[in-house]
Amino acid sequence: MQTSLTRRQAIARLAGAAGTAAFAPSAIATSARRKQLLVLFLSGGASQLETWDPKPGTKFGGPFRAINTSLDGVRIGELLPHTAKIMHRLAVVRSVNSNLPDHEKGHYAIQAGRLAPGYPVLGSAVANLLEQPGDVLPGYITLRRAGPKAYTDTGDAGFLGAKYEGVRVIDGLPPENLMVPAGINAAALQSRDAVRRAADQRFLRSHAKAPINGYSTTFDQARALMQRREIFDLQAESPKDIERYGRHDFGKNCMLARRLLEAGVPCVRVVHFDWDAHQDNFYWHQMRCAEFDRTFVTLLDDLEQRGMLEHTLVVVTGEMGRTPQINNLGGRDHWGRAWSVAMAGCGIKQGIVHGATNDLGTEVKEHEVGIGDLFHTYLTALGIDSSADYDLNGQTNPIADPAAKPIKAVLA
Amino acid sequence: MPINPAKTQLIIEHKNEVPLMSCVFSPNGKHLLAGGRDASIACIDVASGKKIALAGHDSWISEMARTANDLVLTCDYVGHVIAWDCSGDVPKLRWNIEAHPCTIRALAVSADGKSFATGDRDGALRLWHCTDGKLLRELPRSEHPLYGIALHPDGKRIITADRQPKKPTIKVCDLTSGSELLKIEVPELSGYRNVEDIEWGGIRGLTLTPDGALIIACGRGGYDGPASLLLYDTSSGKFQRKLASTMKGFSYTARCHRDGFIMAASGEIAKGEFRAWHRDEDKSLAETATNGPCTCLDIHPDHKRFAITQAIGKSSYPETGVVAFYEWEG
Amino acid sequence: MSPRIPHHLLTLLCLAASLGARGEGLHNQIDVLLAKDWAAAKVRPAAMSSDPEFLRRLHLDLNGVIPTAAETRAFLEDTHPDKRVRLIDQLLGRPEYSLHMARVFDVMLIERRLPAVKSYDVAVAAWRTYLAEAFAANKPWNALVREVLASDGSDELQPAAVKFYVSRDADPHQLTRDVGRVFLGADLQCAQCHDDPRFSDYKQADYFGIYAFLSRMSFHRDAKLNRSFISEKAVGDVSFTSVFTTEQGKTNPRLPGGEMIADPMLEKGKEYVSAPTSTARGVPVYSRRKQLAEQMPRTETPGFARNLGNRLWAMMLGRGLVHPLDLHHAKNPPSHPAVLSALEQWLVEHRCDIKGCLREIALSRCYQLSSELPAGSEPMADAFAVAPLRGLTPEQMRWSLLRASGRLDASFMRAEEQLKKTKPAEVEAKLKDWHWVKENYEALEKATTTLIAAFTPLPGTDDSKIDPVVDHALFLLNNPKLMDLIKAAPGTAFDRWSAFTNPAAMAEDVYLSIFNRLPLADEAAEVVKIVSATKTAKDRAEALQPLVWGLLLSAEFRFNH
Repeated sequence: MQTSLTRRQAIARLAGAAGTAAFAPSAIATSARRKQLLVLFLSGGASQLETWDPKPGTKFGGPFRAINTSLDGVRIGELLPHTAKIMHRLAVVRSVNSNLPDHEKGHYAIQAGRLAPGYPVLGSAVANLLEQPGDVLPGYITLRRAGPKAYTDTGDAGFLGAKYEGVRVIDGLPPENLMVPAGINAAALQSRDAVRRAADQRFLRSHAKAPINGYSTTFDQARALMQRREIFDLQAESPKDIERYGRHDFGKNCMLARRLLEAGVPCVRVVHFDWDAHQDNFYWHQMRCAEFDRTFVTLLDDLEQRGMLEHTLVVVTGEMGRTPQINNLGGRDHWGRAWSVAMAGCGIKQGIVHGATNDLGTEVKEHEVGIGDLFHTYLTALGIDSSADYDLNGQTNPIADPAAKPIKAVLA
Repeated sequence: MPINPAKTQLIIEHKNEVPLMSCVFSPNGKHLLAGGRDASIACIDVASGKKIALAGHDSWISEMARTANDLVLTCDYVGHVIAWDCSGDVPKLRWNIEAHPCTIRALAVSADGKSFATGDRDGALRLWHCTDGKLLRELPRSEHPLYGIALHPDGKRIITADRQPKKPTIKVCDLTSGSELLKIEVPELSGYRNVEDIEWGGIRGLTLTPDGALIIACGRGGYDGPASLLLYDTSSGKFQRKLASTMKGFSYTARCHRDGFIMAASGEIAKGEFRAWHRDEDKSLAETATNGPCTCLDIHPDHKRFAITQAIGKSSYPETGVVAFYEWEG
Repeated sequence: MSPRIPHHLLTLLCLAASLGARGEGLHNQIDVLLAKDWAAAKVRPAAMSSDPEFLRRLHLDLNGVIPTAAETRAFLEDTHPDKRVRLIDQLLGRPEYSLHMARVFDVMLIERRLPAVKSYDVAVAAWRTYLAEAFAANKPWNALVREVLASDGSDELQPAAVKFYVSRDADPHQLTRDVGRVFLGADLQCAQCHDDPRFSDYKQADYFGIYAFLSRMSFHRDAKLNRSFISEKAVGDVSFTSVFTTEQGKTNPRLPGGEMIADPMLEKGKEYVSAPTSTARGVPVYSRRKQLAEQMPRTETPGFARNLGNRLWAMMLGRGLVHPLDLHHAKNPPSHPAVLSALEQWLVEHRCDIKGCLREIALSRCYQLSSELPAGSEPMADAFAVAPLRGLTPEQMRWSLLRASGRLDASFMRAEEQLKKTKPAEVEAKLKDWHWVKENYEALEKATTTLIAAFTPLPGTDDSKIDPVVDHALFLLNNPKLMDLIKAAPGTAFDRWSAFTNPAAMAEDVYLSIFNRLPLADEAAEVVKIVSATKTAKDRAEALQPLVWGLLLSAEFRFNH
């Protein structure tokens, strides 16, 4: 065995202590209202050229035009007309170089803020870092359509353990088995739970604490979800509101996301699928953008009106961008070297475009930003000291990649 | 003497700055207009080979068609249609309309040349006057993106093709009332995959035989299948024949020669072909490979020549285009 | 725990007896090497496992299910000094070994992937039969891998072997990545687009070298036969361009670190046994894919034997010596390089003998350590100084729930009785025949699909990434299918327990069935308290239900410890 502790070994050690993660006290700034995080994940990789960073009329610009926005001198793709009207409320980073033209790796690295495996993704990390005593609902819920998109759920809690795994809500359906089975009386249920707890206490005395506590937590979360299952009931919303969000899965999931945030879930992620336009990129981006554009603006409006945007960070990202080059099937392929991410809400400067790509959109021209920088930025916006360490049973590990730093220019 | 489709000869190739996706000869056969991945239209004088650029669009060119009376119509990715008067030495812009709010992928001119129809990616279907570009009427919209339109020579029927997931569909409708007369599902041209929940295939082109008896649907036989044409009886909707290439890829365009054979332009990543079939035989009559995907084909009004467009580039990323003129021997 | 101290001493005696002369065998080598590492790092290893710990763990690892109450009692009462060795050999010899290994290697090779059109997949039953056959015969790993990579689905005997390709849609890029990951322990994916800047030992040329073996293949579905095949062309070269440097390369098939393999010169027009058409699959005279099957599964191939050793180790110890299992590279070295080398060496010398290697690992002191923490410390996960708590895999969970509740054995009992009636002469042979055992497992498998569904992660994940999540808890708390297991039904454990009139004996049976150990004094007292107030078997069943349910929900049941 090596005498010095490598990064990998540090993770291994942490993994052994999963579930009892506690953050160093300095990691959280004091705040009256708990901050919350909403990630809108454009899975497959949206084309920056058809969205935030259009290059109309250039070699790789594609067929679409750029349109004026509510922000003087800033133009975005014409496929986002609603978003264009609220650009003054967004911060857009046009100079992301993640360098990972790959779904699986990108999904993990963009969300974990680093390449090294085993770390928690953004939702899990924030669920842990913003945890408060007495929390019962899961700290992180992820909403998506059913579909064999395995890489969508890669990573998750990493060494933080099962407690901080994203609870998956598929097709807007609440988790299964939320109802107590018929014909069982309350006394029997109580007695069952007492037996389980006593057995776990006994087992805990001599065994590794993290996995046992992590497992035990899943039962607490289950109970909390059972008690609050009405959150998942979109029937409670008016048909008009359902229409405003859109009758597609992304619209429904965004509405559900708002309800979950209102109920106090610290982190919610909505996955918007099928941006992986290797063929017919322009047809496909018209379809995808049309869904995204209106729903996104509706959601931001609602969060704003309810006073939620003050303490909610909204992040719009995918796992990568798309190639400036257009292939023979009219598609754009995987590209990580020059693409865009958008943010809104708490801790973020409003109405700013940071960084730029060159005229053809092939490279970052100024203020290059890496995945670690974005991760630092999200945490900082949420009032978390991103230079702090996780402290798990005396082992420390940096919350965010120490080699990266927050993007000051977009932070309020 | 009828044309032998197997005897083709390349006359000349014109290079273009961007990949080309569509082309059409002017009604008098003097010009060929071609367009693709930029807003300008390449106009080639067929006799002199002189090439000029026509400005007017501000997006990529998607489809083109000629009318019976001097006009060529071109449409683009942001919903504009331009009519070019091609009666003179140089085509002139006659009118320019904002026909749709989004990409037009389907365009057809009536047999009498007086009207034309457009279909967009949201499924909207519109009928227009050729002479002035005025809207004649809005027809019932499709729930799926429209990728092909044909107007029947009887002047009474309109045929559309969509990109419905799993079962791309052809509809034959009454042109006046818009009511549906026939619905033909074409699952053979579906490239649907569960993994992405995307219809990658669909009907990419729609043509009628000159007598209006057969519908020709262009596309790909499955997600990974060969470039294919499917033939259906216009009156009954009955399947007639599948004309499949030996090349994997999409058939984009089919054109009918007056001597009875069908020409199709097809492409796959970094290669392509054009191929001739008799409508009654599975085996093709002739085929010619092209360097890049063959994206479109048009037969000259004299039926002795034809032109194709291609996208050209290294591996899968085309950077330039080619227009090639061919003639049939004899 | 009163019986623990004697167990503990007994264990050491057993071990001493079984190991014989020091320094012999791989297991000894492992222990010596690990002891050295522990001493150097000042790690204090856990004590030896108790008999119940060892018994339960070994059953789960080698047969995929916890032992019965009767097996547990017999092992605890066995005083033979060699009883652990004998148990290892006994479990390795059972039909359940082949079936369990088929399940484990199914997940390892396929990673729960599905082709884009699900109905085109090779049926799980046929694939598992193919694997079970291989493990029953202890087919060497190189031979198994060769068959899997060589299969195009047309082999009449082993058409199922093509599943590795079919489940990945025969996509050459996906397969290139997974061939590297699954068989060589190296993920070359990032090298697909450029030389991976993180890992200097992965080269783009390595990726495309493997890709060149596979790039000519494609998926072929024969609609008439209703079967999936692999089609292959006789032509097609591979060239690649780095997105970083635009440096270009061209490659023939080549294994990482190996030489390029040139295609033989074939006469023009004679490249195919049968040429591909739109309706028929292509079979080339010279198949690059078959070259991969020929060249790669050899112990000489760098990484091949090492990867197997690492994966077998992870199967038994819960994590790899290289971890994650598919990320062997310079910046992610093995935690105990000498142990990994020893495993690799042993596999080279013993011709990739999987069963033999598992036996050696099971014999090692490391494997037989307790999961109880050494006083005052919690060693790092990659020190292997304490047995880890490993969540049961979905399959282990299913069979263990069915075993603890008595459903599994009731079902086998019925099948056996049926056999006695219909084919009395064959009973003994059938019970040892994995085909017969598999049939009976499969019948129960169909009836319990819901039971496993809640625990099964998404396609693309293997068993190393499984962690308990809230969905599991909700299932265990509320699903009617689970309720079915803890109700009285003929021949089940629940019926047996309800029939006890002596509460202490009942407590013993309940704990032996569920936790595979005797109850502690306070646990027994609790059972006595619960049932002593009841009069009829029905009353007892009602009182027992929450107890049994609670125990099945506990961490001690949920983890392999």
